[in-house]
Amino acid sequence: MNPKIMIFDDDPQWTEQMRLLLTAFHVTAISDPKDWDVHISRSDLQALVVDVDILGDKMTGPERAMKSILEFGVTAPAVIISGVVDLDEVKKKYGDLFYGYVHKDRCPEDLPGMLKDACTPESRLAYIRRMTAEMARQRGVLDYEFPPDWIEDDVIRGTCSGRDRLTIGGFIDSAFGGTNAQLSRMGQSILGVISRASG
Amino acid sequence: MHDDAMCRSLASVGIQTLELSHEIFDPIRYVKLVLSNLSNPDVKITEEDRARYVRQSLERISNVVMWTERMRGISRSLAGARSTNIESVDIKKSLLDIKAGLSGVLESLEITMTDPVLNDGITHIRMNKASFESIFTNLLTNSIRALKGVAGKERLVRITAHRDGRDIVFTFEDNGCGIPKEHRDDIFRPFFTTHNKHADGGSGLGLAILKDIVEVDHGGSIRLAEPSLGSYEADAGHTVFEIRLPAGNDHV
Repeated sequence: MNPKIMIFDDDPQWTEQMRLLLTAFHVTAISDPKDWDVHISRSDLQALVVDVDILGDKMTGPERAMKSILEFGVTAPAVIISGVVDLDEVKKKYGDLFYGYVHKDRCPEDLPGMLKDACTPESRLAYIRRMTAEMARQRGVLDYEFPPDWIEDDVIRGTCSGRDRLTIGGFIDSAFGGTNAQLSRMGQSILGVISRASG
Repeated sequence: MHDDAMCRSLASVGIQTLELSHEIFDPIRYVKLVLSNLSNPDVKITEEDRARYVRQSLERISNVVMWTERMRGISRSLAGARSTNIESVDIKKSLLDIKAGLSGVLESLEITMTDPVLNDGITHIRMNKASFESIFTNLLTNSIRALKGVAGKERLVRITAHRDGRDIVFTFEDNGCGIPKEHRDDIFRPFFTTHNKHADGGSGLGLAILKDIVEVDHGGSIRLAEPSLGSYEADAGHTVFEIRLPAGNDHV
């Protein structure tokens, strides 16, 4: 089955062409910011493609994506695209929060391969680890100590048994130390702790 | 052109050049993506869709040509070329010519543009004719966009003029969807638009260029005004522009 991805871009003609470019994927395309919340918490999405400038939206695409990572525990790798803004600046600001950054000029050449890579379990594991560490770092809580009962997922909490307190950085290391299984649950557990620690 | 006027124009062009990358490069990268898809043997496209994609590409490239031409026009104005050709413009005739030029769309959208009402014996204005026509064509095009979405009432456009000292003050009014309060300070900003650029082609450049023509080239002013009492039914959906232009020697 083709991996399911979502494209968020305000130009419907552009997204129609992106669908054709990304024929190896099952694409949901949205142009209206109002549709974002409806689709973003879908658990079956394996990657996101997010435009920076969205007409009529008070938030940029990356701001909206970052908000969803924290609010909904979204762990699908997001690729940020833009034709207008300086993507190096965007990358400098968000770093590892997003999987990759592609200028719209380079979409035909670079995007299909990048998304194919993002949808592999190995890449996703590495991404969630990078992303959660970056999120904790940006919010200044990487060394924050918390009790294990903050971890809502029983199975994930089990990986930290025998410890009274953990740092968020330590939790990330231990959570991703072993298996590829339950990637999203691990990511969501970590994001839940980050969200609680950063108030 | 005076130094301060030159600076204002350069600043205006500076902003537009930055934003123009959007207007120029977006269509180009869209066409690149279309060509990439059309030339990919793995992509299945029906003949009908293929023709549509080609048509959309041509439309986008036409926009690139249009914006390039507009930028060239602004460059010419920087060099003072646009304001050198001053002539006596027959106001009523020019406005009726503009109306005739857009009669097809006015009729199809059932928009009534009443004949201009020129008070105080005004007949002519001394200025660049192309600039005069640009100003009112631009305003009329905006009104058409605004009126397109109006239902349940007669769609109206009205132009009046009166004399105020050495100036002629034009009032351009439509009863379209109006301009929300929060946008009233932004409408002359380059590339600001309340329309959907992708849906109806409004670029957000028109009023910025128009302001440039009125103020920099002709020493006039343009502002949003309150709807005149008793003009049309008093409702929130009116847009009124007041354009003040020096009359020159031909205003009687």
